[in-house]
Amino acid sequence: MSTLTVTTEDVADFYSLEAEHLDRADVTGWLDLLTEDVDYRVPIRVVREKAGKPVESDFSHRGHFMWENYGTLRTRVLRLESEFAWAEQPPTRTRRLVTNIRRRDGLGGDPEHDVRVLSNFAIYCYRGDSPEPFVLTGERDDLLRVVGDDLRLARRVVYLDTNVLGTHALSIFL
Amino acid sequence: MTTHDERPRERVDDLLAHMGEDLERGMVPAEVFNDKSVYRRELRQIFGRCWVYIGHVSEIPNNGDYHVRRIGEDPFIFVRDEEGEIRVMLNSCRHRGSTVCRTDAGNTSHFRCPYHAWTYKNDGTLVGVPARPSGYRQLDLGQWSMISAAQVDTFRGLVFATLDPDAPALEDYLGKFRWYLDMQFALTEGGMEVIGEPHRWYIDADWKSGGENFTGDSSHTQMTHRSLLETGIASEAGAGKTGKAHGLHVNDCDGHAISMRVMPPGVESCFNYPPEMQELFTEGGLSEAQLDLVRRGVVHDGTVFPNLSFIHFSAKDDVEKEETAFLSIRTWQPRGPGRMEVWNWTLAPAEASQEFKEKAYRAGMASFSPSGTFEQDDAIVWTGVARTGGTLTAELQDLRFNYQMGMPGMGSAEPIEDWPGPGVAWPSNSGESGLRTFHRKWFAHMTALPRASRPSSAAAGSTSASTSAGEGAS
Repeated sequence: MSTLTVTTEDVADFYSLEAEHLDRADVTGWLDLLTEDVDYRVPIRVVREKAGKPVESDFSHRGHFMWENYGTLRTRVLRLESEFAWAEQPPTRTRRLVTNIRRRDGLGGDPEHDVRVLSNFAIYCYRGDSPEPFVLTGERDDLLRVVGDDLRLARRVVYLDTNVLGTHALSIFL
Repeated sequence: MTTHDERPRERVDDLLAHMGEDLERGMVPAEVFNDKSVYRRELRQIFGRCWVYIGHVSEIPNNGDYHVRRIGEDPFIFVRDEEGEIRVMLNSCRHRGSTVCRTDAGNTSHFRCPYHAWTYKNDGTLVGVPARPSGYRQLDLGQWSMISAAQVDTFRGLVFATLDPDAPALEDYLGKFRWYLDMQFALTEGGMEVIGEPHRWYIDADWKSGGENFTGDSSHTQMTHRSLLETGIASEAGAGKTGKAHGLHVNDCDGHAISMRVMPPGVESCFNYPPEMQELFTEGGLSEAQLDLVRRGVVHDGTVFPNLSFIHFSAKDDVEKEETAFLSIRTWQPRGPGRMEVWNWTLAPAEASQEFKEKAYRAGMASFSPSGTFEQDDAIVWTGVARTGGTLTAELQDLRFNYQMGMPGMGSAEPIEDWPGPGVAWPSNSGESGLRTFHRKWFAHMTALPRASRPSSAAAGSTSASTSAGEGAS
């Protein structure tokens, strides 16, 4: 597989596989879908006056809900696998819907190895005995790297729609 | 005017009637963590009277910089005006009350109301009213400035405001606790600096659960944060394992309290600040006794009553890497009975390199933030407290929670006699004296005589034009 032969279907399959791991609380399996130089960020949205600038200007450059590399993500997974990580013990029941997948070929990353993809997501999170989910929605800006016959996540920036989290804690991956 | 005695009796009155005695016995009524009448009384008696944290001077470095903040549930604008003065003003138009600033942050010279275009300078002065020649010929603009908090003052870069014009000066309100705040906020000559925008998130828990916890709930660490010990993400000393560091609790420090874990005398830890930064710590003006507690410091955490807490600590975001020092400050904003919004900022010394500030931010975010490996689990346990506080069973059985750890007859520790700082210091983690201080302060404010409303100020804007125009007859 090369960046030239990656199809939109391949990309959609990757996101489905990723969501399957995360929705089944298989966070170790999810780690295997990342490159070891992964850069994973969830910047804080700051509501400002509309200035006609791109989406990035609505987000803090320094403030992040998550700002991770492979080592820090592996550390979070290590904790989640402990039986005493109360925020995920019992685990949040999640359902991830990934839609509006858009290729941005050649815009970012190494065009020989990386495919840039924008997508929208909705994550429904159920905790305790409440029938009402917390819902997190937003846009993801990813670089997917071609590794052999597979795709791996090499970079992700998650642009949440909310500026204030309603979820008690951010103990899941987006 | 309604007075204290004329108010219809509510559940909060029943609770307060026996709470003085409860506190003597180390107990707190469960319902104070989730009851409508308690909550309404708190907004008036606590958030209407105390000095409340608004923001840090480093968040508004330039004239015109602003952020929206809250005092209790009330929306305020925290702004540096064109003269460089810091203002805290109700985010509301004097004309008909609409919101004049509808963003989180920015920089502006004026606030213009989207309703009828009344326009204010960023110091709150009304400077523009449409149709003045035809509709407001006698309007005295000077009488219709935006409403300011009654008092605004700054300590070590921390900006506080109070709605109470009769509240004591900030310096007196913080009182002797300033000795401990200096160790967090005046390590270096330049003081501390906020990095990035705050984390904000909702928890279905009472604001007091955060406030009391940070005064020194040392015994929750071993259970609530056990995942971090099991995995080695937290050090044994940092997590308070017996024998690895000394626990110190200081209570009754003018209503505020702090908990410290420090290494034995002569052993340095200094929150794992790098050596080149530790060298700057003699420049902040701290006394030798304060510097000793900083140099031996593993963690200092405390609460400025009512809802500003801090934790000076070091954490690792990668289990295989070293720990990095950071200072987190947070406010526990009331957002309804049994519900709060947490605001969290990470700080580092102003003199630190950009590289260190980034590392400190990431260490703080990884441990104390909504995604923080410590904080995630705190949020979960506090929701249970509010849930119990809201039960009918709590009311029917007059349920009290237990705050007796370390009380006389319970604890084996005695106060340190030659303690160099203010307050009562205990050489033990096995106590909840700081939590009892928090709730005694709360009780004192809840039972204090309420401020009388001031009818004169409400009418200040009326002019003779309103009566002579005779519109009332139409």
